[in-house]
Amino acid sequence: MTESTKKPPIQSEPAVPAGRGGPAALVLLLRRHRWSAEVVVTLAAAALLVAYGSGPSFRQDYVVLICTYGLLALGMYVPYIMSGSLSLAYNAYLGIGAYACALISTKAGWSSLWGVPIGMVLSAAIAVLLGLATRKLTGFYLAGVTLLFGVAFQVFLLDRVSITGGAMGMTVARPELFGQSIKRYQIMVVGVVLVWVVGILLARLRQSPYGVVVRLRKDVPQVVEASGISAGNTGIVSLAIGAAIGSLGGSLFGMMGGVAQPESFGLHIIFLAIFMPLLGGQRSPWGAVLGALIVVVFTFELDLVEDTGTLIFAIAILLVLRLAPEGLLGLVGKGWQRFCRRLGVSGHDDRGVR
Amino acid sequence: MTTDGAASGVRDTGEVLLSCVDVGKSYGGVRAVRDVSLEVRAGEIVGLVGPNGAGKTTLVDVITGQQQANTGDIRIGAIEMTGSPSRRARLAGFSRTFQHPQLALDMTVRENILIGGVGERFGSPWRIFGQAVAGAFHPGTKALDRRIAELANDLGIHGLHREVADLTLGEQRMVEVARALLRRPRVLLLDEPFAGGDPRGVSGMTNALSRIVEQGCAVLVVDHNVDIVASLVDRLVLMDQGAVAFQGTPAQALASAQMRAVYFGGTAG
Repeated sequence: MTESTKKPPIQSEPAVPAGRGGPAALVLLLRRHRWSAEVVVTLAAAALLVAYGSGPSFRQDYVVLICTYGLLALGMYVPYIMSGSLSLAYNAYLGIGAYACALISTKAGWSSLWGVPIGMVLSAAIAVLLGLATRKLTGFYLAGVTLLFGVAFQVFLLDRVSITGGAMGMTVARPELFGQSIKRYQIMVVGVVLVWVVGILLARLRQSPYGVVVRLRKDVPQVVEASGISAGNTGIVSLAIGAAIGSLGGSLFGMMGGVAQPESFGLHIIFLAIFMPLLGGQRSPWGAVLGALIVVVFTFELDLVEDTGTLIFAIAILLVLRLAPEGLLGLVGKGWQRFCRRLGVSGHDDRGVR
Repeated sequence: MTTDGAASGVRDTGEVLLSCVDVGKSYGGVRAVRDVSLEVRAGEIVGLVGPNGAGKTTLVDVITGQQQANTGDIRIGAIEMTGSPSRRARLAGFSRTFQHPQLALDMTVRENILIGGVGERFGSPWRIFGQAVAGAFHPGTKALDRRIAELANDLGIHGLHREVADLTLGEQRMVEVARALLRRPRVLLLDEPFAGGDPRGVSGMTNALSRIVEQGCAVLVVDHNVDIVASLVDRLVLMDQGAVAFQGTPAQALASAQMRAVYFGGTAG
């Protein structure tokens, strides 16, 4: 082998520091199998959520609400956190998902499950149109136009009574699969699985070339362009992906509640959703899910705080932004790095290939 | 004034990969670039030097499409450069670095380099969508990672999983160069690659450039550090007040009255 064709030495795993075999070896093992560890930990969290939902019936509603907000936050994660495109039409995408299930079951007489892909495609198409309309404008205009669309969508739901049922909304028939009606508990389990699968896929997407490109687009769009990639098109695709995931959350919400109503898809959802990934952590889609969990706990559940839940949530946001700008998972990550340094090993995966 | 051709000892063989003919760029009444004509051939390194404000970076921005020229013709090979920067880069296969390093500071060295090698995969909206779907299931970066490791090794970049924020300015410039080289460009434009670099970095970059021109790439190095650039290039183009003041071999350029006039004052005559 000639000098020029020799493969460069990929940095090898460092040896375990002397005298610190146990913990340091564990750190190296976890680092080496980081992906597997992420799958196991998140799967365990999902299993805990399902176990919690196995109790009284109200818990199933509660878990589905967490999953709906989780999907909403995951939907916002791709365009907003990764790509830097702030779309505020997510109430509309949630609504499209729920109303697609309602319309397909009540007007066409099909299983409401067909509304899931239809809602996702429709939401993605609308996101693309909104993205194209604001393509040559800066971020503020995208936020403004999508916010306007979100408001107009809610007005449409209220005014077009013949299509949407107006303020009373529409019934979403219990979904059926192979002629069997899907039970509420099963919908809850499907919801948890959906959040887990979407979270895992987005975690992988973030590390993929697409994920790298959209994250660079956020900070250095001219580099994306100089690399032969249209920054505008990349952003629009991220908006479409986010809208489709948001719609999935809306479908889940509609099928669980059995009804799609305008009041469920107001702008208040957006202002909570914006802060979910900021609170939970921006460096992983699981931060968005954690943020959604915290939002639901503070704003819907805690008897202790009840009426003041939203206020406490707002204060928590301010504190997190001040003390841990990378969110709660970012704080955990920093602690992990510090722990690794104390053990004398790097917390990063230093291998050239992963 | 310019010198050219065999009489001046300047390379005049090899395919012309980058050509600018009478390129001009004005901002209102200010003419930042005035009727600039230059060529860079395959396997040639050309240095574009001049004091601050001479119009060097504006010329690079015009070539790459970051800004639109008011007059003149720019070609990479036979392809006329029109349209957006991404379209130009895709069609013509050129790479560039920036005067001020354009890197995402909270991302890793590897991630900042990686984008240089994936442009072909993102050629249309459908292909971008395909990449998003594929990326969720299989990142598909093994071959790229191997090449990134090779380039990092060549350029002396260590710690691919460090955050760019932890690097010195010189190291950040090397990351930009690695990103540009990952594309295996036909034409490479380096804007101020030596600013803030240490001697080891300069040596690493010199070696990398030697290797890339051996493969037939045309390189245009823009810098105001005449000594370093002169030691590296086949030809020097001196710009002053938006226009080309002199073209020739480094020896000719360094001995020219124009160079003395531009850098030390006085007249060129």
